[in-house]
Amino acid sequence: MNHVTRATLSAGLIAALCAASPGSTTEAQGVKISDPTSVLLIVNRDSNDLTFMDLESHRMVGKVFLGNNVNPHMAMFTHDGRYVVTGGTRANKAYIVDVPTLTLVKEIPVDFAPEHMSISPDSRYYYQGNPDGDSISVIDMQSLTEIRRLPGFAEPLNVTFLPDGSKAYVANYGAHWVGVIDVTRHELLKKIHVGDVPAVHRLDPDRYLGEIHGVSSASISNDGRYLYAADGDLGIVAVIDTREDRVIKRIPVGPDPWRAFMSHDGKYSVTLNNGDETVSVIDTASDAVVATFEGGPDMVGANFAAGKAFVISSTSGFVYAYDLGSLRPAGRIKVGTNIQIETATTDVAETKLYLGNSTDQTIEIIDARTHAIETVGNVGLFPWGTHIMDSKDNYCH
Amino acid sequence: MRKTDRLLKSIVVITLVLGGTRGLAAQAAAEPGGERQALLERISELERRLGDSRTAGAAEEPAAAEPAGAQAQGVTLQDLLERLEALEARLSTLETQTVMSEPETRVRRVVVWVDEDGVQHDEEVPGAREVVTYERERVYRRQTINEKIEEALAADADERVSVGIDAAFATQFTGKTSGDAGLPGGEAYGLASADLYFTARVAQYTLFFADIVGLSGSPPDAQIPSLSLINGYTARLGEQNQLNLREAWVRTELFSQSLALSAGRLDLTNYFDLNNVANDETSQFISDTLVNNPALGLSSNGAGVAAVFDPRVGINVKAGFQQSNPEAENLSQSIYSLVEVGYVGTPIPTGEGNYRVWFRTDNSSGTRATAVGVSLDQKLTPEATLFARFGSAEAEVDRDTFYSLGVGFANGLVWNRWDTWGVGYAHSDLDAGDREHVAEFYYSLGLSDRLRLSPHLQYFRVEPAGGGEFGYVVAGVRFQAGF
Amino acid sequence: MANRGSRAACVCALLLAAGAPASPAQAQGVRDRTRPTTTRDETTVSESQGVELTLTVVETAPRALQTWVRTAGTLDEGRRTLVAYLAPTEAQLIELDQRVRVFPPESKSSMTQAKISRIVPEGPRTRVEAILPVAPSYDAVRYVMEIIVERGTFLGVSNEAIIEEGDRQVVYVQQGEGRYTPREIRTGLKGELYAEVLDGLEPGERVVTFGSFFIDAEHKLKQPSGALMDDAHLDH
Repeated sequence: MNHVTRATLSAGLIAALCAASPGSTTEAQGVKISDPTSVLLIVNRDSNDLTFMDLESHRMVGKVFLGNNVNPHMAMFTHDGRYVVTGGTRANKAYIVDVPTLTLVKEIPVDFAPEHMSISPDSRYYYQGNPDGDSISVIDMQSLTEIRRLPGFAEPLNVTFLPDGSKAYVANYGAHWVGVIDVTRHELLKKIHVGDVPAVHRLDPDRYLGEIHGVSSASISNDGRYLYAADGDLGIVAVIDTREDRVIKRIPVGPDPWRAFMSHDGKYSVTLNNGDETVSVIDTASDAVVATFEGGPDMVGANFAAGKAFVISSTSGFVYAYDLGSLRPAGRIKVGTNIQIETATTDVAETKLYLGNSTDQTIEIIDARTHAIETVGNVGLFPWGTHIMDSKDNYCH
Repeated sequence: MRKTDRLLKSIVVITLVLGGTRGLAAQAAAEPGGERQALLERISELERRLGDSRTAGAAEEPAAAEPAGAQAQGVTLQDLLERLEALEARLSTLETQTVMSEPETRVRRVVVWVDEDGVQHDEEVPGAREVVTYERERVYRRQTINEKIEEALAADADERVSVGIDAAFATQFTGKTSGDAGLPGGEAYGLASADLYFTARVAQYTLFFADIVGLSGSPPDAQIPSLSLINGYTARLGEQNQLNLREAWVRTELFSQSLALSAGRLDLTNYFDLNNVANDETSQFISDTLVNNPALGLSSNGAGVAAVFDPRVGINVKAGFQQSNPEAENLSQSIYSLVEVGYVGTPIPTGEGNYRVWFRTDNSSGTRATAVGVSLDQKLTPEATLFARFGSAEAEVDRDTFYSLGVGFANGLVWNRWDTWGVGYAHSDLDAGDREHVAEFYYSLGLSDRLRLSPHLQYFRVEPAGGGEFGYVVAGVRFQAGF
Repeated sequence: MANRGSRAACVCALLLAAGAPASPAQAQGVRDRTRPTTTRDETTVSESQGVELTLTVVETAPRALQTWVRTAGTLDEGRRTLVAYLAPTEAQLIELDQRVRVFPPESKSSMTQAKISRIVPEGPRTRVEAILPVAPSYDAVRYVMEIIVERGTFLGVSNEAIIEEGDRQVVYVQQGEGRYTPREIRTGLKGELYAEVLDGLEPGERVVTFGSFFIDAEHKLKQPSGALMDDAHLDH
C-alpha cells in the first residue's frame, strides 16, 4: 500500500471514530440578544409574555410567550446573563428563558401563585416566593429543577440574599417576622421578630384579625450589614443586623408603610407610607427619620436617579420627585390621566426611569433630570414590571 | 493492491459501515420506544392533573383513560393521538364551565382614525381625523374569586357617596385660681359634637363635600369670660341641639392637578394658617388659641372660593375669600379675603419644616381691616416638632397682637405607637388693653384606629384692661371617634 | 496462512465494529449475568436520602462557558474609568466591550456595571481599562472588578459534579432511579460554573452535582481497599 492510500484509509478510520465522539464546539444559532445588558425586560401580565426592548433604539427586539392564563408577575435576569426567570402566578409555575435565543427552555411546577423572586449572587439558585402557598421554591439553575420547597412562611413576598450568598432573608407580608434561610442547606434557620403588635390591640381585635399588612420586603444596605424591613401594621422600619440576625432598632415612620427603598449611595432609605400618603426619609447613618414629605395614594415603588428619589403613585398617575441633596420636594410628574402605573427600573447610568403604564400598554421613559417623558407603545398587554440587568432599582409590587 | 492492503481496506469499510449501522440501530432501538415512553408519561401526568381539577367544579367529563403503566410497547401512535384528543375535549369542557378561566374583559380608551366615509382605522390614514373612543378588550388573565370581589367593591365605592362620622365629647372641670368671687369656680362642663360628612366624586378630579354638625352641651366658655375659647368646639356652637350645615363645596383640580379650586360654603381656616401639630381641636390642643390664630378674625363659615396652587416643589400659594357674616344681605357685604405663601423644606438639618405667611382683609365692620400672620412647624428630632404662630391685626386704635408656641410629640416618647402629646403656650395682647395667657398639656391615647382618648390640662389667666384679673385651671378629658 | 489471517482479522473487525451491544450486562459474559443487577461499583441512594441530601442531577449538555476574571481596579481622577493590570494568561482572554461587574470591597451589595474600553500591553503585564456609566457615589478609590469572558458553548458538566482524585477527575453518573456509578472524565476549559468535557461523558447523561461528595463518600466506604482504581473503569 502506498503512503497516500494508507493515510487516506487511516484518516477514514479516524473520521469514523471521531463521528461517535462528543461534539467539541457547538455554533450558537438564532442569537437574538447577544448582550443582555442592552435590553429592557418587560413583564406583560395579560398578554402572558415577556418582551424585550433595546435601550438605545427603544425598539422591541424580542418576545417570549409563556402560555394562556400564565399571568407572569416579576422577571429577572440571572447575574451571569444566561437566563431570564419568571413566575407564572396563575399557572403555578416558574419559567426559564434562554437569553441569547429567547426560547422558553423550562417550565417548573412550583407552589400556588408565584410572584416575586430573587437569584443568589452566584446565579446558582433561584428562590421563587409563592405567597398563596406560603412557601419558597428553591430552583437549581443548573438542573433547572425545583430541588426543595421550603414551607412555614406566611405570604412570603420578597427574598433578599446576602452578598456572599450564605443567607437569604424572606419578608412575610402575612406576619411580623423575617425568615432567615441557610442557602447552603436550603433550610429556614430562624424567624426574626420585627416588632410587637401594640398593646391596644386588645381593644380592637377585629382590626388585627382582619387583613394583615406585615413585612413586604427586607432591603439590604450597600455593605450588606443591615436590612431595613418595613412593617405595615406596626408602622415601623426594623433595622436588622445580618451578622447577629436580630433587630437593633425600630424606626417609627408613617402608618402602613409599604417598603423601604435604599438610595444608591446607601445614605438614605425611603419608606412609602400608604396610610397617610407620606414618604419618610431615613438617614442610614443615624437610623432616624430626617424628613417626611407629602406623597400620593397607593405608592408602589421608589427609584433613584439624578440625585433624586422618584416615588410612583400607582392610581393617581403621578410620580413624585424629591431632591435628596437638599431634602425638599422636587415636583410631581404627571404621567397621564385615568391611568394606572406600575413599577419602574432605572438604567445603570442613573439617568432614566422605565415605568410600566398598564392602562395604556406603554413604557414611559422618564428623564430623571428634566422630567421629560418619552412613550414607547404596544409593549404588551398590561405591562406589570420592568427589569434592566444590573440596575440598582429592580423590584416588583 | 496487495492482499494485505485489500484486507486493511475491507476492515476499514466494514468498520465504517457497521459503526454507522450500529449507531443507527442503537438510536432506533433507543429512541422510538424512548420517545413513546416520554410521551406516555406526559399524557398520564396530564390526565392525573385534569382528574385533580375535576374537584374544582368542572361538570361531567369523559372518563379518564387508565394510565398505560410504564411500558411503551404495544402503544401505537394512533393510541397516543386518541388520548390527546380526549384530553383536549376534557380541557375544553373544563374551560367553558369553570369561572376562573374565563377571559377577563375591560374597557380601554383608544385612539382611532375615522375617514370621510365614516370608516374607522387603527392606523392613521390620509384624510382621516383622530377620534378618541372606548373599546372592550379581552385578555387571558385568570383572577381569583377574592380579586374579583375586591375589584367589584372598589368600583362600587367609586360610584357611591362616602359618608363619614366624627363624634366627640369633652368633659371639663374648672378650678378658679384667682379672681372675683362672683366668677364661677369648681364647676363641671360638657359639650358633645357630631359631624356627619359626605364625599362624592362627581367628575374627573372633582369632589363634592358637605359637612353637617350638631352640638349640644354646656361649655365653660358660656360662664368664664376668657378672651379665647377654653373649648375650641364652642366656635361651632350656634343653636343647641340643632343641625348646622357647616360646609358644602365642590373642588376641582386643574393644570395637572397643581391648582385646586374650591367653591361653596367654606371654612377658610381649613386652607390657611395650617399647622402639623397645632391645628385640630379634635385630636390636638383643645384651647382655641392654640389651634387657630385669633388675628385671623374669622368667626363663621360662609360662601366663598379658595384656590391652592401647589406644584410640589416646596412652595405653595393660596388665596381665598368668603362671607364672614351670616347676616349679610348680599355677597359684597362682609367679604373676608386671605392670601398665603407657604414653604416646605429642611432649612435646618433636624428635619423638615413648614413655614407659612398670610395676609387678610375684612370689611365686615364697615371699614377695611387688615392683619398679617405667620405659622410654622419645624421638626427638632424625629419625635418632636416645634410650632409657633404670630399674628397682628388692625384694631380701632393700634393693633392686636398674638403669639403661640409649643412642642408636639409623635412617633416616640409615647406610651402607645400612635399616641401623640403636646405642650403649648399662647399670649394675646389686645389693643383695648386686655391680655390673656394660656398654657395647655394634652396626651392623646390612640385606643384604636377610630377611637382616641385625650386627657388635657389647661391654665388661663386673663388681665382685663379695666382690672379684675382672674385665672382658671381646667382639667378635662375628650373622647373622639371617627369613621 | 494469509487467508486464515485475513479471515480472522475480518471476524475480529466485525466483532469490533459490532462493538458492545446496548445493555452493559450482556458485555460481561454469562457469569456476570448471573450476578445481582446492582453491580459492585454502583451506589444506591433511597428517595428519602436523596431529599435529605438535596441530591441534584444535571444532564450533560452543551453549555455556555463563562470565565470570570477577578482583579482589583483603581478609579482615575475623572472617577469614570477603572484601571487594572492583568497577567498575560488572563489578559489574553480580555476583549473590548466585555461586561464588568464592579463594586467597592466595603459595599458588595451595590454592584455597578462597566465595559472594557481599553487594552494596552505594557511589558510583562497588560493594562486594562473599564468605563463606568456613572461616577460611583462612594469615596472609594479601589474596586473589585469581575470581567465576564464568554468562552463559547461546549459540552459541559457542572464544576460541582467533579471530584478531584489526584490526577483524575471523577463524576457520578445516574444509572437509574437512585443508582449512581463513578466515571472518570477528562475536562478542558474550566469556567465559572461549568467545565468542558473532552472525554468520558455523552450528551444526555445525568451526573450528580449537589450531593456528589456524599455519594463519593458512600461509594468509598463500600469498596474494598485497592478497588477504587478498577471501579472507575468498569462502566466505561
